[in-house]
This record gives sequence, C-alpha cells and structure tokens, in this order.
Amino acid sequence: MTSRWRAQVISPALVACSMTAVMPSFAIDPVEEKAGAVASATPLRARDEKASADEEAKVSAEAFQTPTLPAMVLLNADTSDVERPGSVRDFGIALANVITPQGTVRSGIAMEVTPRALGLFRSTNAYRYRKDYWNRFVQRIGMSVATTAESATEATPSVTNLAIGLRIVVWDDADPLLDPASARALNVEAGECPETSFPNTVEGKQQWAGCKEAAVKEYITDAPDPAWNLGGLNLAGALSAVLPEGEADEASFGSAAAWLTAGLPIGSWAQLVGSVRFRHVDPDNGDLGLFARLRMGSARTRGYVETGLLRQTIVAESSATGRLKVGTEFLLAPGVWLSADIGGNFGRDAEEGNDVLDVFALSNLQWALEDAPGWEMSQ
Amino acid sequence: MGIVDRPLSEGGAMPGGISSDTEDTPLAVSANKPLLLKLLSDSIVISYSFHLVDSDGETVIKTWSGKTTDEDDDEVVVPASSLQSGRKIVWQLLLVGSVRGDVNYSIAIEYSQDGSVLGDDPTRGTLPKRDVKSLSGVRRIEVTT
Repeated sequence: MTSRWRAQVISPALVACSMTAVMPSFAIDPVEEKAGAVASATPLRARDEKASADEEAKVSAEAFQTPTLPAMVLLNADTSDVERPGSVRDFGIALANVITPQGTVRSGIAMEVTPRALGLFRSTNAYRYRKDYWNRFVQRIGMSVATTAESATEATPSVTNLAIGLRIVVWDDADPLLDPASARALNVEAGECPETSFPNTVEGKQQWAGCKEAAVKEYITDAPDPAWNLGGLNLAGALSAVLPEGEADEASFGSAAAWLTAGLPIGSWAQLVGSVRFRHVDPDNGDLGLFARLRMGSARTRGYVETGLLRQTIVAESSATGRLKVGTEFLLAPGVWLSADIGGNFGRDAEEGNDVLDVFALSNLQWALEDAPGWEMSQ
Repeated sequence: MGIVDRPLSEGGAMPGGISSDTEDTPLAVSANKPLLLKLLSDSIVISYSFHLVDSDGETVIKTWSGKTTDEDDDEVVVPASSLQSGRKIVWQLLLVGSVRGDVNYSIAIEYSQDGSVLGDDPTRGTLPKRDVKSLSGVRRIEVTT
C-alpha cells in the first residue's frame, strides 16, 4: 500500500494566472480532486466542488488503468478483504457461500479465482512457467466476483448487484516470476550448502534447509532492482447484473466496463504508457476514457508529461473533460520519493457555459512524499 | 495441516520433527504398492526435498531432492518395500520471492498409489518482496493390507 502525503501551493494572486479561453467542442465535467486542495477563486471553486461530488469522472492514470479486480472496480466495492481460494475444494466452499439458504445471492462477496483454483495447471513449476508462454498466459488470468447491496427505498425494493470480471495479461516484462534473480539463487544454495555436510537425521535436514534459506536470502537481498521502465500489455472486462432482493431469476443488466493498458520501454531512458477505458453505467450514462503518459529519466530521477480525456458517449449532448499534467519524481532515500507536479483541466464548463484552460495555474502546483514512485505497469 | 509457515532458521520447525499436526491424520497406504509423492507447485518454489524417516522419528532412511527449475517432473516414488507403519514422510520446500513485488502462492504435496490420490497437504500464502521462506510438513505412514 502506497502512503502519500501531499501539499498544494495556495496563492490567490497566482490563481489569476488561470485563464478562461474559447475552446470549441469541450465541456468541463467533474475532474480529479486532490486531497487537501482548497478552492480559491469563484469559477474554480464551482468546478472543484462539482469535481469532488462525482468521483466517477476522474481523469487520471489510476482511473483508466486496467484494474486487478475489475468486478470490484465496476461496483466500486471494497477490495480490502478479497477471498482467494487456492484449490478446487476451497473454490467450491467459497461458491457455496455466495448463495444464501433461501436461494438468493448474498451481498458483500469479494473473490478472485485463478485457473489453479479450478484445477488447471496445478502441477506446473518454475521451469514450465518460464519456458512456455501459454502456460504463463493461462496462469495469469484472474476472474473476480463481487456483490454489493442497495437498501430498499419507499419506491424500490432492495437490490443486490452482482459483477463478474476477467483480467488477462498478454505481456508483462515486470512479471516477478520471470526475474532471473530467483532462478540464479538456486545455484547459490546448492553451492554453499552441500547435503552431505549435514547429519542424516531430521535435525540435520532442518539445518540443511536453514542453510539454503539463509544463502538464498542473502543473495536475493543483494539482487539488483529491475529496470524502471518495463513494458507490458493487459486488458480486463467486467459485467454486472441487478438482482431485485437477491433473486437471480429476476436479474437484469446492470453495467459493463472494459480496460486496456499498454506500456512500452524506449531504450533505458523513457517509457510510454497508454490506457483506454470504456464504461456503460446505465442507459443514460457511459463514457470513454483515454490516458497517455511519457516518462523520461532514470531509476532515481524522472520527469513526465501526461494527459487524459474523458468523453461522455451516451448522453444526447456528448461532452468531454481533459486534464494535462507535468511532473517529476526523485528518489531521496530507499522507500522515500519526492514528487512535484503541476497540471489542470481543459474543456468546457457546462455550468458556467464557458471554455476553461487552467492547466498551468501555479495554484495547482503540488508536491508529495511517497513510499513508492508513481503508477507503473507492474501495479 | 502440519505446515510450518515460519522460516526454519527462525524456529519454525518443531523439536524432534518438522511438524506434528498431520501425524494425527496418517497416510493410509496399501502394502506392496509404491507411493508417489508429487509436488503441485507454482513457480515460486525453486527446490524441494522429501525424506523417509524411520519410526524412531530421527533417522533419515532416504532423501529425494530436486529443483523445479529443471525440466524433470517434480515427483518421487517411494518403493513399496520402504513403506512401514510408523515411518514418516517429511517434505521441505524452498520458496524464493521476487525482487519486484509480493507474490501469492498456492502449493500442495499430493500422495497417491496406483493413480488414486490418498491425500494431500495444501498450503498457500503470500511471499513478500525479496523474501525467502522454507515450508515443511510431515505425514506418518500407516500400512493397510
């Protein structure tokens, strides 16, 4: 879990640097609201309050990247306690827990199922995983299941929302299990801990295991960090249904979403990342989000420019919100990153009826101390 | 299930044996049939060893060990002649974490004879970034006629 502490420069005088311009075809919609941000001038305050009121319309890398658990993201469900069955037996037990004794679908379910839990590739190993692309492809697939509840109102009965999602990793240079360091570690333990050096007793075998563990631990601790700009391609989709009072036979379509994220290393000095997200929330609400980020630098110091665009796709009067940001990140010490960025929105303010460009308002300058760098493919 | 999920070097093993829990659920094997021990692992396991321990609980009669980074299957055969009630199968695994992040694992040791699965010792958990862990377990053998 990344912890973050952010600060923002507040200067009423500088807010005047925000500019309003005529820009055809864009309309301002709610955009990302940074924690700790303080409204300043009136037009900005109106937009900021609106932004914080609608988390759905964030225009950021985090909002558009392919999620690990798409079903939970689609329902905006809690992901802090996800059940991950490790065997067919565990999966059966977990599945039985989804249905109540009354035959309805239980709410509050959060589960991720991998092919191993379905009995596939149970006896694979390090050799086959590293050598066989399709072995890796299947093993990396993750299916997520989530349910949430909406309380009854005077006009409507309670409903249970059920979502099923699928995540596929097509290519991932950051796959931790492909790292050659762990493979090389094997030879370290074999060389430093010959079996014949230990007594042929249970206690001796324990000492042997302890020796191997210590040797590999020392090696892996000193292993070099992987490259910072690795590439990859992954995609996900999720579909949800609305179940009145949890009744599966009365289910109707709820919502759907699809994501695609790709990263491409450029030499050892840059990385280009792009994400696409499509959502169909309900018959009157859907959007298409695009995001791109170019990072340049090294493992310790990076600069980046990123832009995102969120376009409503279903409403009669399509609208779009844009966001542009530039920033930099410095590794001050192991586990301590200092980041600074400045950015803002462009598009049309639907409420004010004017076009806005406040991208480089100095009031939007922010800095933060974090325990991990910004968004990466491996996340 | 008799799984020791603490590093052996930190006292994870129990004195006089690896773990005593699964000795309460012995492995009922048929006489005169070899016993197949199979490691159902993911790629986080890099090496394994199986030990056949005599009924005194201390003497190791035979050890089979291997690397999952080899192309060979991760399984061993205990000859029928070695199967005696009171003897134990002790297994040890070495798990190596990643330099890139936490890894979830799901592993099992499966026991079978003549293609029929007699039982298994499953375990799963999360190995933190750059961590190394030894896992081990024990099964007491009970020969049936």
